[in-house]
Amino acid sequence: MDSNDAVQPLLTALHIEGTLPTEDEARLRALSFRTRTFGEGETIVAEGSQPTESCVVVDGFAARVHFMEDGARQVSAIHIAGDFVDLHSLHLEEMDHEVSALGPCKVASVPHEELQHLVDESPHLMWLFWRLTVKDAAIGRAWISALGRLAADQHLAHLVCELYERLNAAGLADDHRFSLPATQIDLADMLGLSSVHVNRTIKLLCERGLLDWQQREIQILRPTALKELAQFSGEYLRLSMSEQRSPRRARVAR
Amino acid sequence: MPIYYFDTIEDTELFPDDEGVELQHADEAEAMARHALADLIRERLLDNHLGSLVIEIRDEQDEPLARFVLTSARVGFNRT
Repeated sequence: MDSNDAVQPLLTALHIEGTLPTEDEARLRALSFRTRTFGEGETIVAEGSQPTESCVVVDGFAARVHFMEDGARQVSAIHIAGDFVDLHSLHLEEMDHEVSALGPCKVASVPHEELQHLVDESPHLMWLFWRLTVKDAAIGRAWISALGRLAADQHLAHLVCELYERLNAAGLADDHRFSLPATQIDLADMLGLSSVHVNRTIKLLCERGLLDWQQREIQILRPTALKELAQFSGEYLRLSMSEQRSPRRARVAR
Repeated sequence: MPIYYFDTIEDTELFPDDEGVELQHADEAEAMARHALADLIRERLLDNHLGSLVIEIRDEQDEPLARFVLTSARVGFNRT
């Protein structure tokens, strides 16, 4: 894989967030991406490590994982292709959690030095990266609310609705289908449930005709009903197009 | 590592586990079943859904290893 393939999902993700002037696109293409492929469950960035590079998901899914002292695991985020998983590490001295592959996952790493240089050169790119982290935070808030207050069926439905909207926006899924290479244990650690409860909840949603879920292939059969059950509104995934609000941003956009 | 399967029976409805979970030891499987029961009973009680809840642990040969049963009921006291 050359740098071009590695950068494409990131360009798509940034395009969702705003205009990407050609000179900024060229700057991104010029980054020295180091691509690596990880197998299911493998550690991409270890807890306690002090990364000198940040990584973007190029293909597949990555999870942010927290380990408790008793061995329990909590997944606090899922990242899809184009997500800058690890923009945090530019600011974090030491990783306070692990990033691991959810199913086979291809990532591309960029040295922090180059990223720093990139945002020094282009305030517009800094603004776009900022938006990516704002969106991550919005997703994080939605996850906390769901984790704290939704029943199992609603929470699982919420996860499915959110992932589909994100994948669909990035051009990675349509027709209400997508594949999610997560085991029942992975799902349990995302939803804060036991894996037995997850199994039963998947079956329940399938029985109600809301979903079809076979071998990690998910199809949403009744999107409106599923969203209603999940109390899902995708608004938090769509940031305001504030480019128009800032005269300077509007100039860049032209 | 051996794979353990956790089938759930809620009242009369069976939710078979066709994926299973890899665990080191049967003790871990039992702990997982207890965790699952706690999860499930909480939700049922909040939904005012009383009745019986069963979790059966199977091994890879389909042999049942243990069964956990919880029943919940409302016992009404009429006020005079």
